[in-house]
Amino acid sequence: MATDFNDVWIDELGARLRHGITPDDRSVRADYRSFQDELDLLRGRLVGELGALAPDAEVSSRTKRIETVIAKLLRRPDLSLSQITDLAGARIVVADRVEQRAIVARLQQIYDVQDTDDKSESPKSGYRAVHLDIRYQGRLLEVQVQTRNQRRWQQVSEVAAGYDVAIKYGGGNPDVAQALLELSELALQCDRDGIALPDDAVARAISVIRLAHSS
Amino acid sequence: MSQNFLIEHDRHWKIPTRITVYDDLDAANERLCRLEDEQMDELNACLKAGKPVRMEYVVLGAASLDTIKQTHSRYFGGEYEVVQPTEIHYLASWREQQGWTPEDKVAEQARAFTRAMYPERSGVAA
Repeated sequence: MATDFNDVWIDELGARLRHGITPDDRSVRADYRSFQDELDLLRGRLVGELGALAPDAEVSSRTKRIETVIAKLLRRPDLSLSQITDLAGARIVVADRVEQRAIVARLQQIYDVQDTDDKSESPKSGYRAVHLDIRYQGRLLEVQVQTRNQRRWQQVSEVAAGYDVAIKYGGGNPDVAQALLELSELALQCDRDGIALPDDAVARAISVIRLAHSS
Repeated sequence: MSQNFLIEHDRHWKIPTRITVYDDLDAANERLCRLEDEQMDELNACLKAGKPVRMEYVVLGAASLDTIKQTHSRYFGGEYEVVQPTEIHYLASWREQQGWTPEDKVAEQARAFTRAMYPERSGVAA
């Protein structure tokens, strides 16, 4: 890909996307997704380098969906596209907090980590994970490291966001928000105790979400 | 070996999630652009209204389908079908013949078709 991914180019793309997508910007969208080339390389390295620390870790990668990119630009008019650090990223799901800490420490050791945001103990609207912004082959990529319990909580949260995306940003139905916060606390406790988030607790939270949006 | 998984996910769970497996990332992204073009008006209207668009399209990279079942488990909370790129046109034409629209009745027909044609590739996540 010949495109020069400097901040000016990225911000020009952001300025276009802020107005929604059009048939004319197809090549621009394709260029944006060429981030995935670097992601594939990074993912391959991660699998190789982290295998000894977390043999059962699962690693996948993606470029942010165009819908969520535009929604973020609309929600934050002050933000330019080059300031969004999770345009392209990898997700690592590990068994527990011990593996999570070990992997984060290893990533900090071997990569050019620009920033680490540990939401494991201090969640944002219930969301727990460790995010690392890594400069890799000239591009800023985000690596999310989650335990299985944190991932499971996020799965429930995304069910709620499918009805009302405001729930991810501290808004939405209060009953749903409370149920998600309680489930998030339980996920933390389960991680501390080394057990899986109970199915019945997950089912209860999903019931609250469905009930709140049944009308 | 890395693979690319194009996810087509209905947030309302009325039609099965479709996962198309591509070896070639460019081909996956080309298909993704087409799908976005098809939903362009709806997407722009939803963005304006601050609501999530019904169909989610995304390309994920991973070593296997089992990996994305772990890292992106929300796409596997209901029925799903796994197809190859060469099968898309056949499936699309079948759906067109049935007057396919993303509504309950037709979604049920699609699920029945998937179960009949690809029993080993469709299922409900554990």
